[in-house]
Amino acid sequence: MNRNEERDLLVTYTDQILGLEPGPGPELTRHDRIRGLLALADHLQAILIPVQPDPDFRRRLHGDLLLEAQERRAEPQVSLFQQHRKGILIGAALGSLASVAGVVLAFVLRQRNQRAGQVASG
Amino acid sequence: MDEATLVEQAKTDAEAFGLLYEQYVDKIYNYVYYRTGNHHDAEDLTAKVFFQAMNHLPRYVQRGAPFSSWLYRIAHNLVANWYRDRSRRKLVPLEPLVAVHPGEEAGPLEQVARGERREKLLEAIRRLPEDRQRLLILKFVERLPNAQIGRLMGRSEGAIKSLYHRTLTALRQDLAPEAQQGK
Repeated sequence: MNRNEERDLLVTYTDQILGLEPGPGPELTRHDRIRGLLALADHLQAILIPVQPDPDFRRRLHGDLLLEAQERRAEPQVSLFQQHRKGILIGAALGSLASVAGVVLAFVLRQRNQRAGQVASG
Repeated sequence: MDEATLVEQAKTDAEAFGLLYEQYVDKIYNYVYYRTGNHHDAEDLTAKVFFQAMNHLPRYVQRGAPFSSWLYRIAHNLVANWYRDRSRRKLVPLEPLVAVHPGEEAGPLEQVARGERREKLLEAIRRLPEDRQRLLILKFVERLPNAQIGRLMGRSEGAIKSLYHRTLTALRQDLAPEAQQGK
């Protein structure tokens, strides 16, 4: 039996013992190589059983979640400025810096032009 | 109401979130329980999963995957943190739930032996990589078909079958030395 056949046999067997596929698979266990894997699937089926959370815990958690949601809704809505406060302040600072740099640059260019004009006329 | 609509509604409506909670709390609880091995931590982490989901839901974007796969991801991250926090401490053994099987007729010694075998298998499962543990929980605890497991885990049905085969092969190898010792 090749690896793919072994895989398909194991999957089919497992789905059958879990009731996901119809029909029993008694003759599957005749294959020696896979017998150990099928026994392991049986063992897993026996121990991995659904557990139920404590009903009190379930109810309490549901209540806590609803309470938290209500409290959050009751909190005042944060304004757009507060939400993006840092970004807005950094943007404003950068804008101010750019303005100052522009004024300084304009001043320097103007002085340079004036000096060039004086040299040309003098 | 379909799930996508319910999820959208739950972003602003606590009652709708309550419906999602009712739909998924048992599944998340089972996942966390089998990952941690005790009810106390399962309750604690399940509560954290849903509080975190509620806090982050407004930013959740649906991309075609089931909503539960997002919940499982949150649960996985919380369990990973839990393991990291406990890495220097000894694991708490699984509680009697797995040792109690009503209707089983066996003597005390046989019951102890069965309990030990179960405990060893569960420990071996918890040594598996997370995706393999999750596959076993979805398959055996939730009894989901392979195609549905594939959608939840973002893999094809064929990939899930192969992963299942590799998982059981690895488990058998992991348990082999113990089985030989037990002989």
